[in-house]
Amino acid sequence: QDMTITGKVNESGAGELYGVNIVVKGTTRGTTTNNKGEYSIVANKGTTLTYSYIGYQPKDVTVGNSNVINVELIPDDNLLGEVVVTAFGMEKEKKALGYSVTQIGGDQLTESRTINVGNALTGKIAGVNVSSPTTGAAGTSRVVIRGGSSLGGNDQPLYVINGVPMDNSNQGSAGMWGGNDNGDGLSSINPDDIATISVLKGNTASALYGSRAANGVILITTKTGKGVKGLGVSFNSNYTANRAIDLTDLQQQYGTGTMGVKPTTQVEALENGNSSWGAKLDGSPVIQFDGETRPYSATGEGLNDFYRTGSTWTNTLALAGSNELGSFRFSASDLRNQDILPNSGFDRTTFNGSMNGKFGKLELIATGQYTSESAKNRPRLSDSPGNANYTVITKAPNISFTDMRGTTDKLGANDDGTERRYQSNVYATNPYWAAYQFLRLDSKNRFFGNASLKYNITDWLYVQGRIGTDYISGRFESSEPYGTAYKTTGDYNITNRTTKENNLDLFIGANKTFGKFSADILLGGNRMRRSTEDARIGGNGLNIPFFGSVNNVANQTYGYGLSEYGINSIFGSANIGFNNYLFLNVTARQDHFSTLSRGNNEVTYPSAGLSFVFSEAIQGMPNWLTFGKVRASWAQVGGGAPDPYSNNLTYGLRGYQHDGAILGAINNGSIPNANLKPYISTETEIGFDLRFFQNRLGLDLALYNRNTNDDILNTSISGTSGYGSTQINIGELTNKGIEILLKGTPIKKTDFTWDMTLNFARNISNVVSLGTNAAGDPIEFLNLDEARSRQERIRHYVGQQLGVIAGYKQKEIDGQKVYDKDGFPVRGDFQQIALGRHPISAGFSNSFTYKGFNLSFLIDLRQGGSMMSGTNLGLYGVGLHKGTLPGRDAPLTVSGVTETGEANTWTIERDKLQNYYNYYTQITENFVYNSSFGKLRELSVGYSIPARWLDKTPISTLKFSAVGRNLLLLWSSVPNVDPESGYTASGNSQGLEYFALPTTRNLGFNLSATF
Amino acid sequence: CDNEKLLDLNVNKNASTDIDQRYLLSLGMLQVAGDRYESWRTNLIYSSTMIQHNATLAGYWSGDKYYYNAQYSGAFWEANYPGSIKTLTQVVDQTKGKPESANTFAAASIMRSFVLHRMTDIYGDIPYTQAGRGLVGAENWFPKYDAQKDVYTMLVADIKTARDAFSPSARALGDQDVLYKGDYDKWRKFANSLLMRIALRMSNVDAATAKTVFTEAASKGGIDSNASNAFMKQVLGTGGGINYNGTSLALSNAAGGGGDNNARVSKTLVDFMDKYNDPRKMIIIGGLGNPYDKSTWVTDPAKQRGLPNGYTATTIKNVYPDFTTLDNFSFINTNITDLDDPTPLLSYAETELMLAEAALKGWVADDATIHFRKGVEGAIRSWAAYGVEVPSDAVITKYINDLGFAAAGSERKLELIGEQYWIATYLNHIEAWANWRRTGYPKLTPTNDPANVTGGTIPRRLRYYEDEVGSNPASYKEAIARQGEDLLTTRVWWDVKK
Repeated sequence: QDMTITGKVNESGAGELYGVNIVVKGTTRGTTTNNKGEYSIVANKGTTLTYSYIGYQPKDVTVGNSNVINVELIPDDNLLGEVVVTAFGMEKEKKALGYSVTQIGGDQLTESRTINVGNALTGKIAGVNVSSPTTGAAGTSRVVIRGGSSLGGNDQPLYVINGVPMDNSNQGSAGMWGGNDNGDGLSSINPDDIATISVLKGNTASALYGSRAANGVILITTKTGKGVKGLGVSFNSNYTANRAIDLTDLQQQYGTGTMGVKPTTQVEALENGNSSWGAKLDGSPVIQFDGETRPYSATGEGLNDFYRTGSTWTNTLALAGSNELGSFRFSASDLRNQDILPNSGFDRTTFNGSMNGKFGKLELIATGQYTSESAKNRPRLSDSPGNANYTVITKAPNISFTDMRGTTDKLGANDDGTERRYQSNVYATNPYWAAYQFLRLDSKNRFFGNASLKYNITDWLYVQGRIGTDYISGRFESSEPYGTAYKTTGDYNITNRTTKENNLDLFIGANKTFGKFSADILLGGNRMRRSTEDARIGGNGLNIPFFGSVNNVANQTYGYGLSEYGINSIFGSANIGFNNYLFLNVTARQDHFSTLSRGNNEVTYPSAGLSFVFSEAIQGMPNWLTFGKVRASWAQVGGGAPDPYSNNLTYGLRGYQHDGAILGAINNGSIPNANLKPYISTETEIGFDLRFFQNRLGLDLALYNRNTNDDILNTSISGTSGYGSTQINIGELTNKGIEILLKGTPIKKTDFTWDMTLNFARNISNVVSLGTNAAGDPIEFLNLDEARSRQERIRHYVGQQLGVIAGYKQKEIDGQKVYDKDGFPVRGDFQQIALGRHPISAGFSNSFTYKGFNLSFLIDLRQGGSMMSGTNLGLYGVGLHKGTLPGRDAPLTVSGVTETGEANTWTIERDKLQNYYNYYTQITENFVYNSSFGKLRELSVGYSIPARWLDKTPISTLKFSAVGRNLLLLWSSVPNVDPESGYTASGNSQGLEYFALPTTRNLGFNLSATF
Repeated sequence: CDNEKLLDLNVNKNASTDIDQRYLLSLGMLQVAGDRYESWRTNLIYSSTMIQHNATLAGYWSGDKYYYNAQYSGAFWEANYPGSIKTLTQVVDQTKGKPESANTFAAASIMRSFVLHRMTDIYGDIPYTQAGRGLVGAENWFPKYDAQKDVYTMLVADIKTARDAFSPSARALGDQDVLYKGDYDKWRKFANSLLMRIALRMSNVDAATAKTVFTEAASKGGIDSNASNAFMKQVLGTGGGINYNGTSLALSNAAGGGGDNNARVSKTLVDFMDKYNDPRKMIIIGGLGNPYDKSTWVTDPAKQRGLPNGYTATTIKNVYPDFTTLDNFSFINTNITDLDDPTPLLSYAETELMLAEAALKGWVADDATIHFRKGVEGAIRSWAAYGVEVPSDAVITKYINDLGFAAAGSERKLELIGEQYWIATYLNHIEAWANWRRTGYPKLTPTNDPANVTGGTIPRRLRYYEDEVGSNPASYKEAIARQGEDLLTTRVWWDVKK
């Protein structure tokens, strides 16, 4: 018969737990513990009560005679939480979800950490492909879920913090003409504040976030004081040292000069200072660029004779506590970084706070973070002006960094203070001048946070309002100094940029059970407004030499930009449960976009998902099957609002005149299109979640098929039309993939545990159609970014995967390579060459625990993509690549066929050799390499001091770890550069590489303590 | 929420959807005169060295040794189609058929024709009809290349229509006309001189049409004094590149230009000036040494030395074993490359020299000698616009007399005209190169660097902007099929002189 059970739930060996779910098994009747850990529930004798709480092993207790049941729950760090965070920050039981969600704990991000927390996701989640472009320590991360659903460049997921979207826009990145990576929004996040990261991979999961979630959602939930008894203090200190990995293997036999001859005059030495086409190094005295005579011999210097050992030190102190009214957490963190590029670094201070309280029927939750970030001299990348990396790697073997530094305190300068040129190309900047005299400072003050108020009308009906804001005030100051070879009088510029995003949510929710049915229903609306405003002052030419100041600019110019957009949405969702083993979720959303024209700016899309926990539904399952669930879903997401103002033609005025004439210009570089409409992406997903042998083995598998139709694309057209591109609804794209997560605990003894996780994902995209051109013919390909060498591009081809490297192959006749009358390679047609992205990614992690010791490592691999290496092309050009050695001592012999197809052999004499290699570099395929790789990504060894040793101290836990990152490149077939090398996170450039920073090997330690 | 309020967000508060087309016209005209980008690559690096006005030892100055550099070769195309042609085509299309905008239309149309004429002379077949018209519709997104022959026909028609459209009753151009300040007579003269240039260019392939076009234009009157020169005025404004003379900016250290000091005056030109004791010698040459280090600077005319074309810092020692520095050779006069010096488009001198040639051909009934003398005198005096001292009347007269035009045979007369046209277009190197290709004068000895890609001949065209291979493949392939391989040695339609 019914009896009222009361009791208390504690953590094993610790305090009470607030918010523990208690359910009468086999029914939908349940309750939760209050803030004293107490509960009360009505149950029959002989029934079973299930106690569950995120991060703890669930426990079943059979109701006996006693009406008091006190329970202790054991923390469970083995299970990836049974309760996961889903849309709007709501926690849901994972088994009730009809779609794939992967959640990892913040602790997985804190030890072997990176400044940008996105990069720390590398290799950890199936279907999430993270690449860290080699753009500097505080650069952008590139996270792509399930291959991305758009043909356009924007394939990044939406980041959501505590239920509210966060700005993750790139603050500036390098392109083919150079530049630097100013980082993204994610770099503001301190991993120590993260409780969980939940990745919503499919459309169903993201349906409630709307269009911006078309590429998936990454939900970040920050830590709270919930469950902390009294006042808890924790401290974490992490120090990492970074060293450039020098993968170069360059010729060291020939020095500066040309045509096999060493320079004999200073002019000649300067003219050929960047040309390693000279004579064989023989140690003889030879004049150099500065007029000094030095031995003509290899210096033996490598990249690390220029780069320094970088370091990052992060210290975080957090206070947390809770009582019957609510809880709070406050943390302060300080990060100091010195990058490997001399004179470059990044500092970040964050203050993060969260509080929640419950006052009768009213619940208030507020979280917020203030960040102050400042970066100095973020590395310039790609094209050579100001890019030290360019000149460091192309330095001739017989020139020494020491001599490039110069003889004065001003590094990289001549005695008169101007740039010390060591070669004739003004655009290849002396690396010391680039690193020490160029100036780039950027700082960002940012606040983001949200406050939500929930009113429980009854015990099953509530209304909730939430306001979220993200406010970023950025300042960018830069100067190319007076005396720079390619810009002799220099420049100075300051830009201030303010980015604001505000979100207002209002929703009504209901949670009710009816017999065997449970229902969780939500109806609501969202109003999003975003704006970016920037103002620049500065200009070219400094009046007073060497005085860098914006007031000293001779030609003062200014610029101003304002961009605003908004989305209004309404949405609804319903989760219906039956008997706690069958669950149906349906959602619907309607978005209105400001950036599309009247009549075209609305899109509505539904989703449905089904989850069946057959291990609970079907009696008599074998007892080795601990848990079994099958799920299926179908969902649509509408997306792709274009940039503001891109749907009509506008004119702007230049802010200056010419001899009394006002100058006006067409603003649009891309042809505006008022007929754009939102696109629709449709995804079908099925999956299994199986656990065996009391969770010793688990398999989570997902199969999906996503189809994107009428994508909004900025497609490139011929510049002779006057415009570089046009925005059109075009094409069809599919992504089919499989994601496997295999978890096992091969050994579990009292003192020793071995856990392993293998994740694997394969995504095959297919560009089904790109629409038709003006003549009605199918468009065969779409042009994306161009390589700096300007003879190759990234393209999407119909019938191929996304992001193909296109360029020139050597002309062939009947499979034989064709050479011209001089024996120089002949270019074939411009065509597709290789896939620029990896379809396969996998991570394999192992963790061994023996008493207080822990050893873990992660191997990360990518497979199937290629890269066009502009660096290797450049190394051929300057005669440093080992591939340029043949022909230097004895004439080069090449065999192939003539332009008419006759077999022939040519002898290339020394005076034609450089020209031969010049032709060789005009053939793209010579520089396209398979960029598959495997890396030992993370390794850590930790020791937790046994609690009994700490008895007499105020410290309650203390853990020390030694951590390493990017320790070994296990395999790669790209010469001289890292297979992950790249200068931008933009999706349109993946597969191109050009003189970015080398990757780094990081070693450090982590100390964490709680009090 | 309110959909209208939402849509209001998409109104750009800092731009207008309507503009006085004259504002665009001014920008478009300055874009035709050229920015640093293409002035450096096309006018200096390729043209000035191919035509042996300038010379260099630097390998990247591709024209000197007949190398192919895709980016320099394509620069004129790359810069102008999305620049001047886009802007001016919009003006032409927006003002066409509107009587009140007749002057705006006419000026824009002439400037559009001017730049497209240069374009076709550099590359051959080019997009003309569909050029810059992407806004009109998807049919223009991948413009077809018009055969050069057809381009010439359309150029003539467009220029004549524009020339005859200027009207005092239409809205005045005033200060917005950065070339002539609203003087439509000067515009008509410029249009006629341009027609004469176009006519002569096709004279070897279609003499009949050439004669018709030329005589019609000549009868209506071309540029008849240096005061009517189509010299774009440049200013020291705050707009950076577009306010300045693009060629000067490329050579200059002022305004953060990072002046490219790798060029010197060519030995061919210096020898030519020495041969005739040319009074322009110390106008074109500034001196010897480093102009920025007065201690090394030598302005004695007798000590000047031109740099031979086609050598590198290594191979120059075969000619000058004592070579130590580029400063051993004469530097371009910095007084004619000030940032606010005008950009020459078409001059009185060229017009008179063209008339001299037409007179020799019997197209016009005038005395060739008179036109020749006016042309040479006009060329010398035109340097006044650069703020340099112009030689005395006596010196000019003696120089012209010594050239011996009147007494020369007819082929020698053509050679003298060609030589004077060549030196008269010293800063307009693109035009000098085009006229040389047509006439073969002056007689130039090609350079022969081992790495040249032309078989040791002076390039006859530049290769298309390589972006077109990928972004406009069908049209590009069609043009190649019609015109011949995309090479520096392929001749354009009108280039038939042996």
